[in-house]
Amino acid sequence: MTVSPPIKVLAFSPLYRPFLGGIEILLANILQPLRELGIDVAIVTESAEGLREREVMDGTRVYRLPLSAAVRSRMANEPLKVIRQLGIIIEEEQPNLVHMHSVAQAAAFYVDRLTVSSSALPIVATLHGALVEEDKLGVVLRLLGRAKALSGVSRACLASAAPYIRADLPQYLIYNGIPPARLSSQQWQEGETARLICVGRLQKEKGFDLAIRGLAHAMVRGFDGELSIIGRGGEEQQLMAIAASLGIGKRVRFLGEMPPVAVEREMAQSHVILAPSRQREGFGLVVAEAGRLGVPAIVAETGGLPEVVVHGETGFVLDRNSHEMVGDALLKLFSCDTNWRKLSVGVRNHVGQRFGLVDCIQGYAKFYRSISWN
Amino acid sequence: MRYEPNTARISHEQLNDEVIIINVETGAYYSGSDTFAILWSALVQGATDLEIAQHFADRYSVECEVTLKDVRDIIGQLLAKGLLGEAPERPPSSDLSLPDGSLAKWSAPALAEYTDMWDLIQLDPIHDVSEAGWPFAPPKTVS
Repeated sequence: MTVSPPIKVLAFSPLYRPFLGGIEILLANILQPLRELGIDVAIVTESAEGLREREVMDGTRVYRLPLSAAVRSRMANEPLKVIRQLGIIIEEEQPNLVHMHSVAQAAAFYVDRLTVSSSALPIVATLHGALVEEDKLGVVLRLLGRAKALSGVSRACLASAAPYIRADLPQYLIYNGIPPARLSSQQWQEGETARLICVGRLQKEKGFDLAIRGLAHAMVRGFDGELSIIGRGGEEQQLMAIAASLGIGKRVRFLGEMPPVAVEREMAQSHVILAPSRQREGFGLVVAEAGRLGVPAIVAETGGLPEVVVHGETGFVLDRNSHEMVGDALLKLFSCDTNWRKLSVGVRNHVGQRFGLVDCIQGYAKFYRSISWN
Repeated sequence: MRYEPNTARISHEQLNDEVIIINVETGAYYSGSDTFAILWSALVQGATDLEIAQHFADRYSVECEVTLKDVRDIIGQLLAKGLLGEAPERPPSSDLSLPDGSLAKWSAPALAEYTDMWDLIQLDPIHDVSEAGWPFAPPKTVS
């Protein structure tokens, strides 16, 4: 049996646990299994009030540095201190490679500086969101230009990088892996009030206003449903006002932030997840997580969402910016319980087959092992 | 010709082989390492372009005309970007204290320019989190 040599990776993630966004959940799922494959990943992330500068979390060494704050200070000594701290971490860790989880982050500046002076340290990057015009910053382009390999959490992410990378750059599609479900969705039956859910930051890009308007559009046509919105953000008051103005204020619940277990419970009690995003969906993690429970989705055709949802089989993929289409899709999905059940079974099977955690872990192992650092 | 940092417009700091200069008016960051760090250190101490070129020629065993061209090129860039100004004449520098540099061979001093740092830290394309976290905020510190 061939034993692969151990690999040490220094990974930069904008945030890490206890924060729980898409990258943090992915890393929480894959770091321990990667260690068992001989791939030891240490994390460098943003410092945060109340969290230690260094700690070991479930076997993963975590370093928290004021990456953004040092830049914001506009004092030349602050980023220099961070560069010095990073130099010490690299001395201690002796990584074989640096992994940027997202290139458009403050750490890009520091990694650029460090790898200018330590050119032997290869960089790989993962795109967790589709790159857009505003990402076309000098430092981002330089890092992508120096990357030895690139992975994306969807085909859409990789396609978005095409204008910024050299044609021969090795690319890997590694979908986020979804762990097996602990719960199962509640079956919807005809005559029952349909429970809709949205999960994410309350900002215009997420299109939750379209979900509310879509619900109103369907209710005018006889649909019986209620919508729960999990998350917080600057648009909350605006969204509440929209629901009130449409006369469905009592049909829309704003649940705020919730711990992951509670989010999963709410998902399992839902009959459909809505993600009518306007842009910047790299993968659609919450849609896949809900799908794993058997919850079909209604999503906009943007970013990686059409890769997570198979139109007509696991949910509906709609044009962006159309609340009418959201409402019509609700009417179609809940036209009879046979229709709903077909999509519920379909989405559970699809997510289990296409977004398995083992495939994801093996994908990252292959990604790292593709790099030659000698 | 002697020069001095344009301290009315910039914040600058050097740590070993790395220099960071920030134009506090525009928010642009500049960074250079190794021979640039030696050059910047020499400029800050009041060395002339000729003195710096001679130091490099001795240090790296290169013709002085080669290093002088490179030194004048980079000084020209620093002047053009408003990071450096001309300084009054004064007696020649006698004892410059300069970092060693880690390069074995001559490499022209180079300055990387980061004009979009503010844009960079505003970008957060992948996270459904604010600084306080989403959907689960970090635990409060128990006092």
